[in-house]
Amino acid sequence: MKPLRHWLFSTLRFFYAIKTKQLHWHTTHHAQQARLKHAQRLAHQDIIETLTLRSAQLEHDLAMLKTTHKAQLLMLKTQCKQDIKDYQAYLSALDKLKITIQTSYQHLPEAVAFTIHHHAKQLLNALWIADTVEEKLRCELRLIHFMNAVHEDACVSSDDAAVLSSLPKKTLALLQQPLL
Amino acid sequence: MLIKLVLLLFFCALLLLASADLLLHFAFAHSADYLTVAALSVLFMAFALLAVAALITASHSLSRQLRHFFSASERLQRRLYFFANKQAYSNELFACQRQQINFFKQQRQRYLLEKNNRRQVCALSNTIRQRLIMLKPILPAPAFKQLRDQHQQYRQQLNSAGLIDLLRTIDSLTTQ
Repeated sequence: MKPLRHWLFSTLRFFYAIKTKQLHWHTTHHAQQARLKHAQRLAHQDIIETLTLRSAQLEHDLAMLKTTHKAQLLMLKTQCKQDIKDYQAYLSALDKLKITIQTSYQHLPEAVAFTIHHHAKQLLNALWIADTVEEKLRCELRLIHFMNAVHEDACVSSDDAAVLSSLPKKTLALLQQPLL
Repeated sequence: MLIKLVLLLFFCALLLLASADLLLHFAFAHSADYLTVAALSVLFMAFALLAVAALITASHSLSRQLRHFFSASERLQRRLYFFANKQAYSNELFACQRQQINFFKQQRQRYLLEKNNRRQVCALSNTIRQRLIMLKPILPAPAFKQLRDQHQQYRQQLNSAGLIDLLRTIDSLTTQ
């Protein structure tokens, strides 16, 4: 029985020694531990503040982005509607142009009138499919120039009865030029 | 700590089993039975303790993970990801909507052009038909048939340029 008690007491002593060492370690390092915990808490708070700020910034950016996109889409829609209206107006103008040239030059072969109309429509399509602004401007200028020539020829014809039977020279000269 | 205790119990159980074996060897069957029962009980206790330790560890780990998942920093981080994703989605949506608007614009323009082309082709075709009727008595039958077939073909193809060329040909034949 004695050795067992002795063994039990030695085990308990060993256990208490470990506890004492632990207590001693905690007492010596308490200040450092507290300091580290405080620093950790501060760092954590700092991270949370940074993340909150970043989140608010992103939310604001997103709202701005949505507004910008909405405005740009609205502008694009308006521009598209205007483009379609312009295209429709151009097509009607070309139809009228053909009728004008046919009434002004009654002896003009119908094939020529149709060719003038066809050429004007090709110019309009070239204007429509042009990619760059410069190209669009160039095509638009050519179309306007062509339409002006047709109008001028029609005016000359209506002013002067002598040229009633002749051909629209300016327009025909422009027809000889290549499309692009 | 629990694992250490489990190991200790396990070794105790092994020692008890070895002792029981020794006792059986020296013909102490009755004591060996007792020792075996004790060893098995200790072994059972060890396994029960191991199971409890596993349960405690798992629950600790789960609670730690849950606390981490719902912590302020993680929640804010997830919010950041949400806004970043939303921004990317908004940009993609904008690009798609732009494409859609441009597509509908092109479709509308194509429709207008086709409508106009059809009207012009119809007018041209009527003129050509009248000319062909006028030319029918003076043209040889194969030439007339060829012209008529060409007219039909260009009309079906909505080929304005071809029809204009055909009208020119017919005009030149008329003047001859």
